[in-house]
Amino acid sequence: MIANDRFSKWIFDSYHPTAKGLALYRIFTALMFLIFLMPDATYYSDMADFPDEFFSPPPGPMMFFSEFPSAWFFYTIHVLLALSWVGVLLGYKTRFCSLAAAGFMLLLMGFIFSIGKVNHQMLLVLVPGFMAFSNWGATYSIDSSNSDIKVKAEGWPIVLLALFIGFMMFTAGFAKILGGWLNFDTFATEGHLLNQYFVRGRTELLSGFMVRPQMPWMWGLLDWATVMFEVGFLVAVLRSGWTRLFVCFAVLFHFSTMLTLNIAFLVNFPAYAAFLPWDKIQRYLKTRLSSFKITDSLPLAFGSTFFILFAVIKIIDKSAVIMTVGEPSFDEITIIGIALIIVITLGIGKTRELITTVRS
Amino acid sequence: MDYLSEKIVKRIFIFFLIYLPLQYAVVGIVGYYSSEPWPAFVFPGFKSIYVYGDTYQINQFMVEVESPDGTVLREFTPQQFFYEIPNSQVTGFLRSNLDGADDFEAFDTETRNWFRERAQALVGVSPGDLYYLHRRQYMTRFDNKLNIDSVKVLNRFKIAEGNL
Repeated sequence: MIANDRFSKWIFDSYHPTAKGLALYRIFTALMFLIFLMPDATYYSDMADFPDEFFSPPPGPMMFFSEFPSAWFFYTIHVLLALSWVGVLLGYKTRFCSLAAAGFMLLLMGFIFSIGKVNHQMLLVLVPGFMAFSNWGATYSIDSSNSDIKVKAEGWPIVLLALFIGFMMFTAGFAKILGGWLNFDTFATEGHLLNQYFVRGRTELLSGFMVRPQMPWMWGLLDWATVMFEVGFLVAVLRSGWTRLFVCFAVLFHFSTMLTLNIAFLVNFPAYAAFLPWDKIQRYLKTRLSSFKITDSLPLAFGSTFFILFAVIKIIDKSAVIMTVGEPSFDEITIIGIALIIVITLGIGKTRELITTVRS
Repeated sequence: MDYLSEKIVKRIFIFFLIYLPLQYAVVGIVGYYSSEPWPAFVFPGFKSIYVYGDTYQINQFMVEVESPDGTVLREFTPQQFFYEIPNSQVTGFLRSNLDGADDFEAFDTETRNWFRERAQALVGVSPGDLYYLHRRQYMTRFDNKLNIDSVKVLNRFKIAEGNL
């Protein structure tokens, strides 16, 4: 009985999002996907032109296909995916559009990964798939203006998302333990750095600086820290505070792997953003906008600001005026850098709160 | 917009709490005997270790383009030769499509033609034979630098014939 109560409490009481907070997250996520996370459409015609023999689907449903489909098929699915995300952005048939976005992304990824290599980007599917049930279209949306029925914002999809992130992190950490990352006489992080640098040509940012020093204690420490972080994430999902702390660790982790291994993993960030205090952000913005007497236009102001910000980042990235390298790209560095600043700001805020509490 | 009852939500959670470890076990078993299944809810393990003490091994894969007289015209890294494939997928692509082969007869005519056309586009002249090369560099650290000790060719096989 107690276990059942705890189970229910974990599912239903871990997060109490507000409809307005979730709506801001919806707008933010839709813009992230539309501007940064859509598959590269220029790759479709290349894939369609590959010899059939290059079609090497991973074990699973893609084995029902025997070759890459023609380019028009990819373009059609790509347009449908984009339209689904526009629907999510505007809050038009939000649940349907969220599920459609998940489905179309899954289909495109299936073909892209049939070149013989699976990338681990399932969070691009899980975020819209789970958040479809959070009622993130309950306000600041076309749906809400077409209906008078009030719906409750649901927190359990965020718990489910946390569970999946935690479990997937655990699989990465567990594989490392089996591979011997915790042995004292091996330096796996160093090995991967050298492998990325010399074999895959990932030589940007701090990677050149990091391949030089011989600091076994540092490499050993990084091996252990990585494993502890990844395995510990699964335990952290039991409490919302712990989950948020580990999401902050994840941002630090991705920022450091971007600087050293040049692997950005921007695809995880919309999922991490689900754990931001969106209700507080909404209240803060409402207070700020009230002085300009445009409180009613909050979603429009929020969406427009992020649209302009993201569009500028994307234009700079595509025009290659600042960086000519593609990996990591300018947009990945900027977005992950901003995420790091947010994490540091939240960390300072929490530390201040803690100091105030201890003093009082 | 209705929402699911608490009972159904709890069942969804129970289902996933059972499903996630089971699918991970399946990923491990299928991955061991074949390759990683998809879709799967896992993150990359990066479990391999390349550094043991001060020695380090680097596996290099190259596509070698010969001129019609049999001399090596140019070597390409996989990232250069298969330039449209995203960098994150090139190694997996080689593993799936080239590592298992040992001769050009492993590929059909369409694929061999594709290799030849790609080589011609890259070198600007009609190429001779094309080879896939796997070599290993052995490196050690000295004075905070990585120095190549030796290079060993582990495998070299023809992936397409030239001038048909």
